[in-house]
Amino acid sequence: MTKRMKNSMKIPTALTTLIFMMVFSGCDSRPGVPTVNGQSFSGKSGPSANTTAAAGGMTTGNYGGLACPNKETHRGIRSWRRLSNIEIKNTVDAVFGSPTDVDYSSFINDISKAEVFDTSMSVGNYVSTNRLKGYFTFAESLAKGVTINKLFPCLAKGRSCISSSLATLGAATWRRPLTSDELNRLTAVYDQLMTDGYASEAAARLVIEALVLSQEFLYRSELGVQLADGTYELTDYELASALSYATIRTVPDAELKSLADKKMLRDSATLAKQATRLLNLPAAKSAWKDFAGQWLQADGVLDAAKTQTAFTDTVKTKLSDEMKNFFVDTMFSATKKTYDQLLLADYTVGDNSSAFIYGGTVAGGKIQFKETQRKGLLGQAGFLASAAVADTTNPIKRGVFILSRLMCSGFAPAPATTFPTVKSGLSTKELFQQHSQGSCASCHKFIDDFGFALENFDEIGKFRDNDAGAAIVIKSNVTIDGKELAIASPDELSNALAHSSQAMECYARQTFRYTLGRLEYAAVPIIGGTPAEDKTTESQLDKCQIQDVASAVEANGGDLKTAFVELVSNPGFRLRLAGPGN
Amino acid sequence: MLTRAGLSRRNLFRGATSALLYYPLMRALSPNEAFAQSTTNPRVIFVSFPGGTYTNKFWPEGSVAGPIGTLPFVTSPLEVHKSDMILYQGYNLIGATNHNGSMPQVLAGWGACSAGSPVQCGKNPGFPNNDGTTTQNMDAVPYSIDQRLADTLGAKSSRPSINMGIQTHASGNPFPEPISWKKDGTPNFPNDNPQATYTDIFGNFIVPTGGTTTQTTAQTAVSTGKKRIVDYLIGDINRIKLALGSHEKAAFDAHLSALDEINRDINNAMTPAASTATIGSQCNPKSIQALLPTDLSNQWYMQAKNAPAVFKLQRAIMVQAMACDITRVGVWQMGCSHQESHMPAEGVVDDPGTVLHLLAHTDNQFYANNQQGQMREIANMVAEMKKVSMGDHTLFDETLVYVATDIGDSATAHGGDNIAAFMLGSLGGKIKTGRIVDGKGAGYNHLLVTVAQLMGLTSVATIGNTSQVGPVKDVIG
Repeated sequence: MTKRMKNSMKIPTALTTLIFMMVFSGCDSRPGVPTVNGQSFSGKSGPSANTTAAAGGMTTGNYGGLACPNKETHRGIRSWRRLSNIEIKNTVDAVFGSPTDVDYSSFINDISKAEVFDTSMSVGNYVSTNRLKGYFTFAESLAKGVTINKLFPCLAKGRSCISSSLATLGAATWRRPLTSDELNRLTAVYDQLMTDGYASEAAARLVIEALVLSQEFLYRSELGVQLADGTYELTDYELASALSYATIRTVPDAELKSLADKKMLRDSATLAKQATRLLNLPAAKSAWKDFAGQWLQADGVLDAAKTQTAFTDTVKTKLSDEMKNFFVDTMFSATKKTYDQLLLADYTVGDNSSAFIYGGTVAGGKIQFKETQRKGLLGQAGFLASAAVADTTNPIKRGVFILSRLMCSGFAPAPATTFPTVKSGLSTKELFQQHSQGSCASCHKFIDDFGFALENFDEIGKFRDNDAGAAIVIKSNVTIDGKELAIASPDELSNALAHSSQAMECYARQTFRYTLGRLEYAAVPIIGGTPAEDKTTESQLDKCQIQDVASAVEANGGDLKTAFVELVSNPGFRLRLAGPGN
Repeated sequence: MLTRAGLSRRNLFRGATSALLYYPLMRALSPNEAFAQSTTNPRVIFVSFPGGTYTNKFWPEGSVAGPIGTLPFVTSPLEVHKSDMILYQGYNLIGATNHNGSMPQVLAGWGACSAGSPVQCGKNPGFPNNDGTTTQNMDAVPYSIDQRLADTLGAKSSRPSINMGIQTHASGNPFPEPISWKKDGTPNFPNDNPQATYTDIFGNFIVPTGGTTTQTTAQTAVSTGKKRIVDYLIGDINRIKLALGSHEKAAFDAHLSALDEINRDINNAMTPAASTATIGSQCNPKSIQALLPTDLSNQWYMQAKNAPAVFKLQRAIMVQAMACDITRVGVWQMGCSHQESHMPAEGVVDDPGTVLHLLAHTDNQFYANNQQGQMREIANMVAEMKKVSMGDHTLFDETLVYVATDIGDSATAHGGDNIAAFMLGSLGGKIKTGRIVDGKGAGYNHLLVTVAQLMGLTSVATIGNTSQVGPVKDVIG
């Protein structure tokens, strides 16, 4: 094929790739946008922690005790968290013994747009009417399908049985013992239904619906109990659930429950010990696959349409799994368990079905990379293919992924601008370099060079050394840790990120977001703009916790599990201030 | 009945209501009374399609105020309904939208807002626009026209409104972007899952017999059980209200509001309000079941391959909900401004490698195909409504369909000028159709005020922004 022919075939490519310019100059959609961190949650902004006069105040608007280097002064922010769809299903399986005919089909997708994780409690994830109706459908199917005599063994005895059985069933469902008032209220529902003319069994099934439609089931409280100094301390049951759902995405196991019953969870050492224990459970790998999948947008490749016919649905599924499996393989490895491994591994986790992309050898569930330029996550076909278009690469998408997901950068809003005219016969790099000029440049001069550094990988992740008939020469200037670096090959970029403090802190942030179910108030770097200042107490609180976690990971040689263990043992996990506006 | 030779029953109906509209006594009646006498049971359907459009493919060539010329590629499916259409041109959104904050403008006239989600805008009225300006005179919160009508007109049916969407919850979409906003400014999200919508609306529906009386939407036993649960849940959740701060309270309020809506639906089902509505001849919701796919797993309705089926199902649900008088206010939100997925309607040749939002950025055939498919769905919906007999006229004669997008006619630049919008239906001759109305740069919000007044809310002078006062005079008269 002549160069000219190739170029002519690239016209649709050029069209589609150029289309992306506006998208990713419209950087507002990325998590960590300053408005998200600085404004969406803060109806009122508290005074600076450094300037707050009233030391000892225990709201985010009035906490003067924070000294960032001293983690004993760290405090978190109270929250009330809706269970994600996966967490609901896992909870139902644990409590009701994996019933088969439960209808989850009406659940609303709970990954909320710009938010990264399904644990995020934000407006898009609130319980809307449609979401609640989905819960009603689920509850009805669950109640209809359960073996009622198992849950209410003495049902023939009527009311007394309901009352006694509910104590056990309710505690399992709500992950804590019920108060007598709560039991009475639920029993009153049964009484009312009997008065309405329902048979005992039908009434009992409706009570089960009420149990799982209660906010006590659908949410996890992290509101705590107020202490004498005004701080809120999470209860033992709240801590048990917080630990459990973060590590294994389901109800607390017997040991956690026992510790909660004995009120022995409310200290940092115990929390760290339990976190470490839970991370060693088999279920933890599955849970952290979810974390990795969402953080790294692993499922994005499932929707990646390609002109290369070998890129089948089976391959896409394998690549999606590959990213998640690679992360947990690293995190839970006995030896290669550090952050830098995520970026420097010369292998990935997969089998022969995707090996053709890498051209490497397969052994023991791993694919050894063939080229030295290919390293870690940035060399994985799942990422490279999803951050591309059908028939060519897309340096912007790749750059945005790295900046937003691996470096936690936000982006300035895009100017309204007309797209540049598409020109044919150019390489991908030449096409995209058109917007290193004009109003686009304010963002794209920082974004695109990250993507250009990966031009050796085509739209499905195969290695290549030429594009549009010309040799690919990597010559990128990227800004990492505030310094401009010259990058001459893909592995140089992987290496730079593997040793970047900003990237390491970003991993800490992602752990924070996932575990606490919210975006942090702490400011993020802004591409094409000025970062917000951490003026509010809540942004200071979050910043200190994130720095603590990042420091702990670094001190432990980059150990990936350390981020979570440090986060839950930080006093901010257990001791909370009233949130903004309280 | 004596009829003049050559006057169809439909035209007679139109003529009769027109006469009523101009009857002098009407001026002395309150808006709702006047409206009640001017038509039978007016209904309204709001449709949004995403991403803006391109002039040459949406408006007739050389389009000016007056009769509608031959409709071009995108709008060509509406050619058969042209005589029932008012095609707007020259109406501009507030600010340079570039997606952000443009969706709340579609039905709430509210924005623009650039650097965050509409919800953030909600907390920051006057948020800077992309072009650096700040929108002035915004209402404190968005309150969309559909919900204004749901709160008034909707009270006459068992559901104040229904709200469906095509892939509005696609994971890649950056913001929750509903077009519908409740009175308190909270978002009213559409349901993307037609199977759930069908079950919700028609699950216990019994087609009424005996003609024109009210219908029962639920069996008493089912309603009673649900009622007890909802009563319990409302009491239960209110117990923790005081323990929550303002941050958590927003989630709490949303939850409680959802419970209230379900409670209201149950109450309506148990004690249906007296209605004079006619049930359409084609009220047969069970016919929808045949359209449901067999595999309902894995969020089937979010998958591109099922998008044609979703369009078809939602269209059928909308027509049935109106024909069976379940509701009189419908919202059909086809995607979001920033649609990061594929949602081709039936017969659309799509580009499988480029999501809809990205297609929107250039004037290309794939994008035009998608938009034409969306217009075809609207055209088909209207055709189906024209087949539903409501006594001596059709369902369409009682219905106004309002269609608009969120971005201007240069989707490349994603500005807010010249919004593609049109109305279908004359509300029984109340509206002079078959023409183009040119705003010549007027504010888009005037269109929303026009709809409000046509539907009987004659005291509504502004929607979303107090700087744009009054309806389009050429339409209201």
